[in-house]
Amino acid sequence: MEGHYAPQPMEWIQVYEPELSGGGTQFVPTPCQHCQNAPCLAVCPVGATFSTPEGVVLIDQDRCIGCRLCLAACPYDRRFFNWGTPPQPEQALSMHYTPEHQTPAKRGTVMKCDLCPDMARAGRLPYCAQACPNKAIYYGDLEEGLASNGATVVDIYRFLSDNSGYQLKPELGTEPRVFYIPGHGEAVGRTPETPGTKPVVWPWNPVATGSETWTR
Amino acid sequence: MDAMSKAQTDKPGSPIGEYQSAMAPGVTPEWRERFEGRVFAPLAHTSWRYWAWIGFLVVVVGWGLFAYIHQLRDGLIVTGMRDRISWGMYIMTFVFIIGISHAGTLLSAILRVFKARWQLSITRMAELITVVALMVGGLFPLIDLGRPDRLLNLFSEGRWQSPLLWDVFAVITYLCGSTIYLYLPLIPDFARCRDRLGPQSSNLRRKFFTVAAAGWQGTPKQKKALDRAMSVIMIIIIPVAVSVHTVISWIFAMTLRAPFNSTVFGAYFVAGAIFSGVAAIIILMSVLRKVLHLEEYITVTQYRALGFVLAAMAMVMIYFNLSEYVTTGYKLEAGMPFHFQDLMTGYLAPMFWFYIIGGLIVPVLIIANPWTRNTRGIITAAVLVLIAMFIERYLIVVGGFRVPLMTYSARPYAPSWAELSIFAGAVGLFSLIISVFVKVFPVVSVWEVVEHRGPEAQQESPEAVRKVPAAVPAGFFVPGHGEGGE
Amino acid sequence: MNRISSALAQGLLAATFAAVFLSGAAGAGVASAASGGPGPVAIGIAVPASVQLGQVARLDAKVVSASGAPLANLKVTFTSPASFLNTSGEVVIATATTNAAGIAEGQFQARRSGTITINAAFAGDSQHAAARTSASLPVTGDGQLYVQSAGVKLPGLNATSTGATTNSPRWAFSGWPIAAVLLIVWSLYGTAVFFMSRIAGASDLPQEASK
Repeated sequence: MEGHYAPQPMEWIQVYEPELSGGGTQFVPTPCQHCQNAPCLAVCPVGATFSTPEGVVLIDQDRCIGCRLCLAACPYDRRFFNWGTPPQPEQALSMHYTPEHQTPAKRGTVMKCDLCPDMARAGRLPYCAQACPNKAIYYGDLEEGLASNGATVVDIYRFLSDNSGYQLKPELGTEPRVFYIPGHGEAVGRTPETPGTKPVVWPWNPVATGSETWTR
Repeated sequence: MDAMSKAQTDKPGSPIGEYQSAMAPGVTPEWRERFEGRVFAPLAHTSWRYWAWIGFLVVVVGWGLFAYIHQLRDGLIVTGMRDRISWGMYIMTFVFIIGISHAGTLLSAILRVFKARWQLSITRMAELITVVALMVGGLFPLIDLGRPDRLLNLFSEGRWQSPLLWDVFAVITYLCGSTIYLYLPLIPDFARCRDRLGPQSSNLRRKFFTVAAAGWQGTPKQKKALDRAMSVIMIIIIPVAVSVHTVISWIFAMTLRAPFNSTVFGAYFVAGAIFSGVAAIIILMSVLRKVLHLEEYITVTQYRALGFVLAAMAMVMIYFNLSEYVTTGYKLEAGMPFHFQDLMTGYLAPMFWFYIIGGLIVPVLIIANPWTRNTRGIITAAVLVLIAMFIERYLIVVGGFRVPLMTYSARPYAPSWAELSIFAGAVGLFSLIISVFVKVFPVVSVWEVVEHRGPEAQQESPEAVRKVPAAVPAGFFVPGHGEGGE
Repeated sequence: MNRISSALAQGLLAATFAAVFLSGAAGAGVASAASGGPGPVAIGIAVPASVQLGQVARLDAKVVSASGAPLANLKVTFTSPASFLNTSGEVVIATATTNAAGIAEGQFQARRSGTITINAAFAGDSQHAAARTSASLPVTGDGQLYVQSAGVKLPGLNATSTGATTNSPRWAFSGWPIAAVLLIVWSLYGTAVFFMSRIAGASDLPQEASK
């Protein structure tokens, strides 16, 4: 959220805390899944949601008419609508808009995680991967088969096979591009019963005047 | 048998080119005089009560417009919708009003194909509901847009693969077809108005009727052309109407959410549309019948017939509901346990049970029971059905969105004052357009009743017929063949 | 380093092990003194002479003791140095356990063209010292390996019979069916309007009311 100034209350990558079968919880950081068979892409009436040749699903807020059919279609709760004038800091308001970083945010349009393609072009990891203190998020290329979390490089296919990687809601056929290695934080010393997430903070909210936030 | 009449163009105000059509058995010239007089009366005479009613409706529509401007200024945050329940009152109303529009197609087209003569006296009201409902209902997707300033993107960048675009094409196509279908049977009635206009009528009115009548004289050639035109539209409008509510259901059914992910949505929505449409006809016909004193021509026959259609559609709806809930309830796949609990014992429970009991079961009972199968009972059933079907749209839209997709708690939804005001404004607009049309053309298809139906056999009470006030004031109509009337 | 290769029917390239592996012992890890610690081992790796982009190559690593006897049941890890964005490191590409002949077999699909360095390492345990060796694998060719797997592929419609998809949408998936339906419906409307105009045309009334 830091780099692309996702307005409050949008959590473009949101850490859900589902319960485990034996009790306790695990953390599932859930960005936009950038599905290969994206339902949001299929239903947009004006083609505002599109996918790049690399497979990143982006939104052109200059085309979006705000019909919210894509919010109905996304099965992962990963799309967000600017119901009011979104809170944005000064530096966001003066940026040149591209769908790759979605700033400044526009009222009446849809937004979501954009997988930070502008960062990839600059040779850096997405903001979420950089920010994770436990280096839990890897970002990679399914063509080359390599992924990095900032500290190590892995072979994606081997990494997923060896660790029994899975996808969210695979039975829906969306073919997401986000894979999960099962766990409950044991590598950093967490047990399933250890309580959880801290509240999310949007640091620029107080400085964004003339806007209002809403609850999701 | 038709009598061909010669055109007389000498004197203004005299009947020109008046045609005499065939008359159904039971139609006497006196009856016809009285009938035409009653039906054409609103075109001739406007009371202060009418202007007060129009004034009230204009205020309501204005209030709705004010609420919309407020929404344009502040954004959709003025509504009760949020990310988790991203469709609410507007889409509910859209589905509901477009559903009502199927009334016209059912009566005017389907029943006409089967030559059901009893519906001829209400066919025009049915078609009127269709046209007005499509006009008003079609506004709601626009009201719901976050960026209505980019509306034209739908046409310049539209994607064929999107259900919303199918909606746009379907509603526009249905609206045009219904307008043609409303106009075609109006031609002979406009001709009757043109021919019987008295000398005191304004030239504007005379010109309007002349142009609108398209030169109708009742010649065999013209009748054949009208027949052909009506047959073409009658046949094509049925699949168009079915497709409209089917594609509307597909904006839900093309998503992967648990309650929406059902293949039966298309048929279910069409059945629901016809069901709510019949209720709407019953209500409109009751209102117009009372206000325009048409009790002699819209009688318990029409009510009983429509009541049976209503009961039949209620049973179809019960079947569809059973079909949906039994299959999903048996399997209880992800999301459905929450949905069932929500519907039957939770947040949506009062609405759900009102819909099932008040909207589906009670109307069937009312109509099945001979003691309640009268005008009053059927109107009650229709009112219950209309309210229940609106609630049903709420259960579909909000109930569907309430099912959590990921690990979060379900959110509530309540319409805000802006949404309620815009809804009220839309209902006001609907009534306003109908009220205006009542003054422009006769709301009963005069020539069809005269030619194919004749007087209604079952009258509710002769007193009801007789105590109706005097008909048309002089000056509008020149007395036609055979003096008579009250 | 031996690179005798023979092509198999499936395109899986394997190396034979006729030659000496002990040359790999040069990369052997620390061999402790013969004071009862883990004994020295030697590990050799055989990779195909070259491989096409996307082909799966078989990697063989042979672990022998100092006397040349093959060592079984030892875990060998194959890695390759790679970098992604601005992080580089050794990427694990396969793991295998040596069989009775001392050979651990791994499979590797080459997804980058150029010359790839493949390392085989044995981490060592209480009886055996660690050992490590490497080889170069030239990868030739180009093209996209990753194929989006969404949607239904119907040969003749949007795919060829070998399964490759074509990018251009056939008419059935475009807007033509909808356009055809709309055309039919609107021309029927036009027919009705035409008949309607016949009504006006068949009239011998003046269209304007006389004043």
